[in-house]
Amino acid sequence: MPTRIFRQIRLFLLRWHRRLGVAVSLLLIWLALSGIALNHSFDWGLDQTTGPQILQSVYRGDSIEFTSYKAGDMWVSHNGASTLYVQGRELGYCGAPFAGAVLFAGELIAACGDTLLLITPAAELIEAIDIGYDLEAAPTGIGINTSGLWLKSDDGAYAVDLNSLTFTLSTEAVNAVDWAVPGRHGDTIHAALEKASFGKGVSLTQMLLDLHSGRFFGKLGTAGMDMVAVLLILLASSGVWVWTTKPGRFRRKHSREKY
Amino acid sequence: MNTPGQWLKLPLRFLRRGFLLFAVLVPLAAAEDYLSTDEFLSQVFGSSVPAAEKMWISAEQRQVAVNSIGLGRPPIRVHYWREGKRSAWILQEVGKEKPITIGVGLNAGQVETVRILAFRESRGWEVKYPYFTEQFSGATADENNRLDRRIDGITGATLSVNAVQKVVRWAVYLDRGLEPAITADAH
Repeated sequence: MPTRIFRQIRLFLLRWHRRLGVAVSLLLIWLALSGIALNHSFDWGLDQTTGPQILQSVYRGDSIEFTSYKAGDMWVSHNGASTLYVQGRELGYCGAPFAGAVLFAGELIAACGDTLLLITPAAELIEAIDIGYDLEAAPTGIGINTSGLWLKSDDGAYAVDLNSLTFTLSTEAVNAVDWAVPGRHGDTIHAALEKASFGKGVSLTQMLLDLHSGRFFGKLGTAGMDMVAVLLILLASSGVWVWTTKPGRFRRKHSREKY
Repeated sequence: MNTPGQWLKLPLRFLRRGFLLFAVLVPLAAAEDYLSTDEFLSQVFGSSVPAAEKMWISAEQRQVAVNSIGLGRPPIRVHYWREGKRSAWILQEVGKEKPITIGVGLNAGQVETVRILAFRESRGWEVKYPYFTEQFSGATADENNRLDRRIDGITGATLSVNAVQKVVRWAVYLDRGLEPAITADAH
């Protein structure tokens, strides 16, 4: 390619590199600062700090979808993420997916993710049992029949022995299991769940993350950030091109000529 | 005059080095490993794993767990396995936000094995590695439930390190509660 064309391309890129740099500079500084804060959110305790109240209202509109099961007289609910509630009160960590809850031998048994939670009727945790390695896949259902407690998974039904902590895959069809089905909790429970789940408000980490990614401003914000990302790629590419194509860049010192 | 080949040299060098760094770092970041209950029990007891037993935790024991050992929310029942003076405990403690499942094997009150069975936190997974867990081998605790040795922490995994230490102290304390039964069995 003739040198003149290279020079023209270089000058064109140099001009647009400057313009792009000025255009995205403020956003780039914001992205860098928020990125640093997010990188250290765990150490700086930002995930334990509630974000500014003025911004909380943006999140209140997003209603959490709770899944609830009635076990005995109690409603056991899950927020779809990692928290279990009994009668609208937070019990603690319970991974996803939530497969349901039943009342068995006087205890509430909730199956979520890789754990079985055994809970007293007074909503106190008795024991958490890992089932991640006992089942081929995460449980999709929990139920009871006359012979005991059952867990349903993609590969079949497992008979659960809570005394010996054994999970036996049934080789025959299992009949008459009363599998737990989700139900509709009343307004009182719903109000308690809303209060319990949004009690502290959204953390500063979550807000920073949403502002960093543009999600805070909805789909428009995400599209805007995508555009900024593309501009940054162009900025980096044009910068590399302009730098590497500078006349005399790769010449040996002794043979460098004045341009 | 520079040729196009010369212009390409530097970017290609950057790419080559970047690829090498990527190739080295990716397998390290993706390292994830869990241990099943059966595998852990086999490591503690060998081929003959005893049946699981249940222990109800008394109010006094829970007080010790919270006040002396510093557990966040001890359960009111735990499962354990024992044969002679050897016992195995599978316990959970929250690191930062999510519980870590930890297996502790003891022999005559001394820690033999510490294994991380499930790690759910996003950070601090380094506690899974033997260079950390092997520090507990031979450890025991005094009457104040403090370990008889200093356990070296891991930078960036302080909460996970603390969780493992608490669980080990909790297991030693619970195992001590079994001692009369073991002595009775022995006679």
